[in-house]
Amino acid sequence: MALSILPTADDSRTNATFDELMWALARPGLVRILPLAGFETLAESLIDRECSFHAGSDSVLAKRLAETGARPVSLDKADYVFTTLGSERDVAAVSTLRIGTLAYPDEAATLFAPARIGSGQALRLSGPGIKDILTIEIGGVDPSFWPMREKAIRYPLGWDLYLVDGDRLIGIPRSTKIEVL
Amino acid sequence: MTLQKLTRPWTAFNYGFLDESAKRELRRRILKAIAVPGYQVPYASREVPIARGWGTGGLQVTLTLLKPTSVVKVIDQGADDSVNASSIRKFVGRVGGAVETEDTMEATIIQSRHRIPEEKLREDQILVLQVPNPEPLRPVQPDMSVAREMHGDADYGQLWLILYEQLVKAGRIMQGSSYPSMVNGRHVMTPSPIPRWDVPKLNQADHLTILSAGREKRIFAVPPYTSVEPLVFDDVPYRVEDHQDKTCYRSDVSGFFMNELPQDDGSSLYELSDSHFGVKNIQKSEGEAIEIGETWYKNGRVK
Repeated sequence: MALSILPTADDSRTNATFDELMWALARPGLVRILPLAGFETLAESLIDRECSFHAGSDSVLAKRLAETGARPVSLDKADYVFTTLGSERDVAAVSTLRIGTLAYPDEAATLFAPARIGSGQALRLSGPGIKDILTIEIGGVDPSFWPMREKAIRYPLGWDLYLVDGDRLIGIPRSTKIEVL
Repeated sequence: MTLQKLTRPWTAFNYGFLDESAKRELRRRILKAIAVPGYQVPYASREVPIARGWGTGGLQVTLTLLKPTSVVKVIDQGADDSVNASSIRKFVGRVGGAVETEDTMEATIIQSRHRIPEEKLREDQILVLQVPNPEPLRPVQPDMSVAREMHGDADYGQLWLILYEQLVKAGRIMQGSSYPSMVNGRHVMTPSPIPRWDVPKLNQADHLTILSAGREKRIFAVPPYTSVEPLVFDDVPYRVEDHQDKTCYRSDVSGFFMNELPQDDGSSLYELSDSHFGVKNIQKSEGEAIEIGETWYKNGRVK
């Protein structure tokens, strides 16, 4: 029996989105292009009834994300956090993100935040997935964020970060060391 | 929110065999595995239509990554044509419409058991290794909850004890495969039962490696450009199998990992373990225009 199985448009989109998410984390700092802009595209390929999320103060986004079946919870309990990092207050809130435990470092949060990729604060990245070192420029993120991340991450404990600029995506896993230039 | 709203219209079959919720779960686990190289992330490990222990872990990762443009190569002990490898390749082609290949250079996803191809993998390629036992600490700590704590504390002293005992008993390290290796200076992982010959191929590699144990429900990863260091003593350097001087009796190529074929008269013949690499070498020597990729080992030594 010959099966002709083709992915639906949804299948293709979530698969392509995950491809970008995966390579973004495997090669930190390199810009990946998403099939569609927006947090909803990222969410639909990753989260469902088994997860919890937090959408910051954006109630429209929270409603859209809840359609995946995931539970809205407070920021310090969430598996997936979608929020802005533009002000010092945002950054202070994000400092309570889950970092996992030594037995289960995977029980940590993943943070998705909008940013300007290609202009702004210069950062030097090193660590797994980076050939030698890599310098990137990130804007739209409060300067207090980078010292806060440095303090929060005690490898292998810590959270993973995705910066999203329209349909462009950069992944920065907890294993990446960041030097603020 | 109702369940009705979360479900999709009925279809006989989902693309890539696994349903979308299974794929999402695997995606989340793969991302965690990449973020903490070498750490074993627990996952649900769904049923697939092959028996546990025959590559279900690797198959689930391949099915999650699969798209119609994927080019899939499956290897079993280096061979593309074994029953296990052919069946998995055929299955992936049937449920995902993926292109099947035996050529390492053409593949986008390489699912493998017990070997890493001799030709160097590129930055855009993904190596999926099937893992029977993901826990390097099992020989010293059968209780997996305790082993998990030991990983948390980076308490790996007893692994050196195993190696030391081998040295004292046999005069050399006897660990033939699954050689415990430190990843990113933090987690010790088993590189799956690949020979010692293949472990250096994971260190600072260009490609992404995802290791998945379906029966044991653990997934871990080695991102590109990540250090993978086999555990060794300062005064006893890491040694790969002595295959440098062996020559393949079929392709006349030497300096690669070989299968030993015992003969009736007590002697041995050797053939390349990476079967399609052998095929390509034979085709090339017969004058066909075959491109052979750069290899990790040159003249029997890793660069």
